[in-house]
Amino acid sequence: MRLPPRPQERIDRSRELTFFFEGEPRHGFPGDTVGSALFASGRRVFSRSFKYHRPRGLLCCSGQCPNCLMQVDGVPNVRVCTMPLREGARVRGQNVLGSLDRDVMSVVDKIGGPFTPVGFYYRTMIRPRRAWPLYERFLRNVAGLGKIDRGAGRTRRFDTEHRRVEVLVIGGGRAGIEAARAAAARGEQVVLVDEGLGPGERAAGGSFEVIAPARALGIYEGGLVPVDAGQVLIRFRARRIVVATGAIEQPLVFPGNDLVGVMLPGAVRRLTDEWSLRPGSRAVVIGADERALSVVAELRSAGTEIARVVDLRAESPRRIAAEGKKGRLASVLVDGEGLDCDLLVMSGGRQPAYSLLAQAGARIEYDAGRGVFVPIELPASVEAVGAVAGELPSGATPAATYEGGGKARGKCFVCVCEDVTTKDVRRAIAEGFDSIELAKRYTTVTMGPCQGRLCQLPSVRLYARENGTDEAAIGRTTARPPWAPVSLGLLAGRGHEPARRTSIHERHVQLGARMMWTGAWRRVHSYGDPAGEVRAVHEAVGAIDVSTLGKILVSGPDAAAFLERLYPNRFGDLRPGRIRYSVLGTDAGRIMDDGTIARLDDDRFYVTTTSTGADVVSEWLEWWNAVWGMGVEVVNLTGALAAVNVAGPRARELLGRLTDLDVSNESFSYLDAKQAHVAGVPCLLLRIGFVGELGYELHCSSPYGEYLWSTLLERGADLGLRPFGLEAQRVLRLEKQHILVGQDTDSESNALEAGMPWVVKFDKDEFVGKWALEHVRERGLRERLVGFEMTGWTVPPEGGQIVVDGRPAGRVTSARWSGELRRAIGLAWVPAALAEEDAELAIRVDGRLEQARVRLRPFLDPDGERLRS
Amino acid sequence: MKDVFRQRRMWRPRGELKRRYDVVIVGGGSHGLATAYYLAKNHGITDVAVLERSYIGSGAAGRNTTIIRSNYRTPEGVAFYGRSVELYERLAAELDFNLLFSQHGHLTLAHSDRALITMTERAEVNQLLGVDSRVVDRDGVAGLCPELNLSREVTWPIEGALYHRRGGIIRHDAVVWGLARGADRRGVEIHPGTEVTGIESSNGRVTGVRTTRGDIACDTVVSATAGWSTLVADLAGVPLPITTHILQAFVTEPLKPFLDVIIVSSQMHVYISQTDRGEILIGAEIEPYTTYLGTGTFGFLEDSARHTLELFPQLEHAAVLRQWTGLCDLSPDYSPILGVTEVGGFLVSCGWGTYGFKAAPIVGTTLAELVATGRTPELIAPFTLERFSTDSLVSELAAAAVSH
Amino acid sequence: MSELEFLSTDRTRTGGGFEPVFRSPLADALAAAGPDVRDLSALGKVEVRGDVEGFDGLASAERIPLTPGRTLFLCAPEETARLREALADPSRTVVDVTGALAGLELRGERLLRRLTDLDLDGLPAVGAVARVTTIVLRTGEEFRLFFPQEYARSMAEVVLDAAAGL
Repeated sequence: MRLPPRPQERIDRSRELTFFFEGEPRHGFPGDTVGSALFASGRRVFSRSFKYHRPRGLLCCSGQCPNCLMQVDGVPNVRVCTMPLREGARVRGQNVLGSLDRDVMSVVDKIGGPFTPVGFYYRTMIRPRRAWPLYERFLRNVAGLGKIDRGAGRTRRFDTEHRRVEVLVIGGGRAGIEAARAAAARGEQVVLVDEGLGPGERAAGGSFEVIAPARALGIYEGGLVPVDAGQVLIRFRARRIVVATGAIEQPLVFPGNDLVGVMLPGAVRRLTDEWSLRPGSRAVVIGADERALSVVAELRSAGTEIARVVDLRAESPRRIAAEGKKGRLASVLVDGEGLDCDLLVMSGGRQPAYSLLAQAGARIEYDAGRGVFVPIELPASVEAVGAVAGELPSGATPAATYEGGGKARGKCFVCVCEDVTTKDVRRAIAEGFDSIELAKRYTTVTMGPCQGRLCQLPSVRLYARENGTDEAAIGRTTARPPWAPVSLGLLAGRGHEPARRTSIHERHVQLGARMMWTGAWRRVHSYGDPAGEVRAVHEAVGAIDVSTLGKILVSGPDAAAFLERLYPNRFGDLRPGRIRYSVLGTDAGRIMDDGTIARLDDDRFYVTTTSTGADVVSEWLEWWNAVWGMGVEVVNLTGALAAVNVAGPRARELLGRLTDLDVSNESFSYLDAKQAHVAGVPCLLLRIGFVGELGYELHCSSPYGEYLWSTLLERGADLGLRPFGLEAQRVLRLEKQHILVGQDTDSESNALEAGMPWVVKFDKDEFVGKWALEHVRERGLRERLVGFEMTGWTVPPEGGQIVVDGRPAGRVTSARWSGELRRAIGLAWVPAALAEEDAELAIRVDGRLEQARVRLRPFLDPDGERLRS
Repeated sequence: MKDVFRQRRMWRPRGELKRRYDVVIVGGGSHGLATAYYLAKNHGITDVAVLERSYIGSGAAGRNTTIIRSNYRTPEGVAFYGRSVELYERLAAELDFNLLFSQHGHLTLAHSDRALITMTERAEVNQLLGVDSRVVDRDGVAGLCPELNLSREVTWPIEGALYHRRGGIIRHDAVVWGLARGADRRGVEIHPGTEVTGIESSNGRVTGVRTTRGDIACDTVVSATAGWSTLVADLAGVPLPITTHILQAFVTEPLKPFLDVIIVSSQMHVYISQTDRGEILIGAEIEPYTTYLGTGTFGFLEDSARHTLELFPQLEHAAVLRQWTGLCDLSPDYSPILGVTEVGGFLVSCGWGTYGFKAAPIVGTTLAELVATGRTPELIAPFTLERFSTDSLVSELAAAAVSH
Repeated sequence: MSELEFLSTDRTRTGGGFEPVFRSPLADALAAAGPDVRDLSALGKVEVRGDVEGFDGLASAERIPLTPGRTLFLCAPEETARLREALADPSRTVVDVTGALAGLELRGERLLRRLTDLDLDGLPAVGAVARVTTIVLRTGEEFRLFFPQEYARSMAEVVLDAAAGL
């Protein structure tokens, strides 16, 4: 089927490639695309249309139109006309019931015309409502094109690369190459990307880099030009972007304009020149400019007989129609003159491919003289050269549509992607969808796979004519990026998400810990026995990795004043070496975070935050520091330091083994902060008790975290030391009614209603959020966070509801079984009226109501004797 | 069936503006048109003009990701959106216009035990208020959406989900057009291409609006302008506690049916559905910065693609066809601001964030009732603008970072 | 003012049965890496807030300006104490960040292009590498990255994976 070797052909006839179409072996050459090889094998029907399932053949042969969409190696919606042929490729048709040649669904084309007018689905299948799911199932099944293999996983490696160049040229046509050459000659560093197989010899001798096939996807924020280069997404940042995307041949609108055998001139040119194929045996050529009409010479050289040439610059036929047999072109009627042919080359002129420029911010206007939209007023550092800039040879503007006349009653397509006909557009206008944007949404013209490349201009022309106005008044719809379809796989790249791990992480893994995410941190849920871990803390000693706690150093002469002004609690009178707890409030008095603050010396405070709050609090502190302009430095030390909390009645004994510090209760009391070497490592020791037992938090430089942890476990083994995880910590802190910000509080919670009025010092002159808390105090408390214990043994779900009169009135925020107390306990928000000791709560559990009683004081060690012991 | 073939105008061509209307509605989106429709239908008030700067449905109504659901967190929100879903279910028959409401269920994934707490809270509140919503575990998720990647070897393993059976997607343009047709047929005038440039008031009461097509006298102005709410309220001298952000979304090329339920992952800032046209529709959380700029970013495509493939690795070869942005008017508590303002006769529907489209019919009925009777319906009383002065916020915030 | 010894990595004491071990955050992650990737985590790193214009206390230390008011100094591990002392001045805040930052040396511009969109001809700079905020330095084809140590394993995974894709 190939012509004798031709000078410009791209195929390498010395080697044959075998691929499979619908399971049958087919052959092609290196240099072929899947589409050209199929064409060479005699295939003319490449797809079935979206709605009517009409047979469709090659139309543009340049990756613009939807006519050659197939499944290749399991990938749906591949434009095979530009997909390079690979050995062993498996190619199948898509959107067919049966085969490409015999598609059962094509019955829609025969009977469907009258039954499926534009927007028919809005007007049908409304009643009865219960039947709609069935209709819908049918609709969903007939929609869509390619198929996704439900069981497939990721199969290919995609990478992302970032590049900076001085000049990026998009498009390897004549104008693009000239621009690249000129820039390179000026000594600029130039990269040219081309969506085709590359400019080949035309670029020879130029001192610039060529990447092909590679599609620019858009000109995005900050001049970012992402380029799809197959397996690599290249994100270009260029000082200058030269757009040389050329122009796109526009189809003429006439009955039968979608028949197999109707092609655009570019398709004919590529088939003959690049792959040495004869596009048809007898052709009619209808064109509006020189470029279109010049295919006559190519066709003759390929041995195609020319039946008739219609030069729209010289003649203005009123009627054009194509007629076919079984979807294939058989003849063309031009003003009643019938011409038998199997190829109709048509073009209504070329529309500059301005989408990239429009996205970059260029203004696009209709140029009545040339009959096309052209870009004007380009943004800085973006240039347009060649056809895209409107440099087009003069041509005729074709009619918006040609009537068939006589017997010609074929469908007349404005949009081949969505199967929208001129009749559909007229109907839409008559129904009141009179603006181009409304009509786009109603008819879906320009919303298909070509994204308006082949249908924007024809539909605007049609709109202008039907509304009795001109194209400029109609305007155009906004072209949405990306400029070319791009796979999720390429966009996703390697897909790593950053994860934070403490310096002790590997030890936890060795200990068989179950890890979980808290924010970006990987933390230990438990070491397999949370109840046993809790017991160890109550009865002996436990150790938990709390390196994830936020740690912020606030230093400077104004440090005390700064914290005093920021936190509701008082810090001005905190003595060096002492620790105080506070919540941190927003300017609306809501709880944002909580933690302890240790005063290291006069000018330095060590602020801890929750694990998830570290970054936000650090930014919050820096923000206020900037606003107030105080003499304070805020240094986030979260990752710099590892931290281990050692807690339990035997914690002191363990610590005593590791340090020279006097750890007696008298000299190292509850809420003291001291610096000392522990196991030879300099540490900051905080005596605090989130988990309710005698405990010390040891903070040291991260690289020693693992050593400190291992030493603690080793030296504490005989004391019964066990490592414990978050689950045990949650139980322990709940027994003390210590809150977890973000779990027990939400974005509206304040310290007064959360039961911590003691952290709010109203007698301070000022602190962030004071006015809001004063307001809360004045209006009175509406709800309260309280402890509760269940009457029975059921542990209610966290998130469970407190029910009053059958309505949700409050919520359980934390609940656990306490082995120590042999009771189910929890924290809950309840209406203020219920916030009294022993008040009865009804909590919804599995649809039933279970009883609970309010407990306002910690369940365990309410006076904190263990903490202070 | 006959209407299928008969070519009948959806609405009258735009006419001349009158000098006076009883009610002027600013914004020809789903809320403005719904309010106009219910004013005419429920209260017989038809001397109404809907003024739209561009074409109807050109703003958030035509750009949202069309998810309808009622599994909110607060009792106020659940009651309100619950009623909205009921109205949506009947709306196609009422308007005699198929809105392609596809109720295949809505799964909000939990990737942590903290997230499961939030899901449980929502499910419990929902159930108490009669909304079909429950927490399902991993096996339950697998049963409802076998295509999901439930492997533990991913960044964010799935621990469970909140399942809302009546959640679904709808054709947003159809909602706009159906309401516009319904309003137009009852006598309401719809004026696209008409921008409001001023709002006149005297003695604290609205007296009229200025437009690019002339001035109009009226007693009531309803602003239903979503992303432009603060700008329109400024014209009336009403400050709103709202920031405007963009939200981005994209669709892939059409594929054969792959996914029936809607999948939402707050953790990964992504929600995924498949439209009746076969496109996979993917949206993100609102961008953290405030802007009116409508150009989409590439980083959004990359992040969304990465997150989507964690959930659905099969979609590796699905290709992005087009992306777009819409404006979101975000209130401090993620609940809407509805009804009266300090200026008499100036009513607002705003502060919707990402929830506005879900509420169109209920906003229409309640605002229409407010206009007609002068009394704020109980269902929307919690959402007054006044709540920001009385510290009575209705926080949907803890519900999730992403909320579709 | 007392020195914040617990921030430093060079103030450990051996004796009394204790022998503290400095463990690089990259120790495990780079176990399988080739010779083109080097662990620099042990280098002395000191961050200074304040003016260092006239500072010439330790000639061998490398000075990396981060922002107008912030400077990072790099030095050999054994020189860290001297550097801290030399920098000490009431007008400055000096923080030993040796333990806070992991360090990684890589070869090849192409590899870096797969990791960051920073302008590799405009280094040093601070920006996202593998989505982690990183200080990036360049000497010819050699690049040094300094980033929060808690991301060390995550970063190493991405770097080694990107190298494998070249």
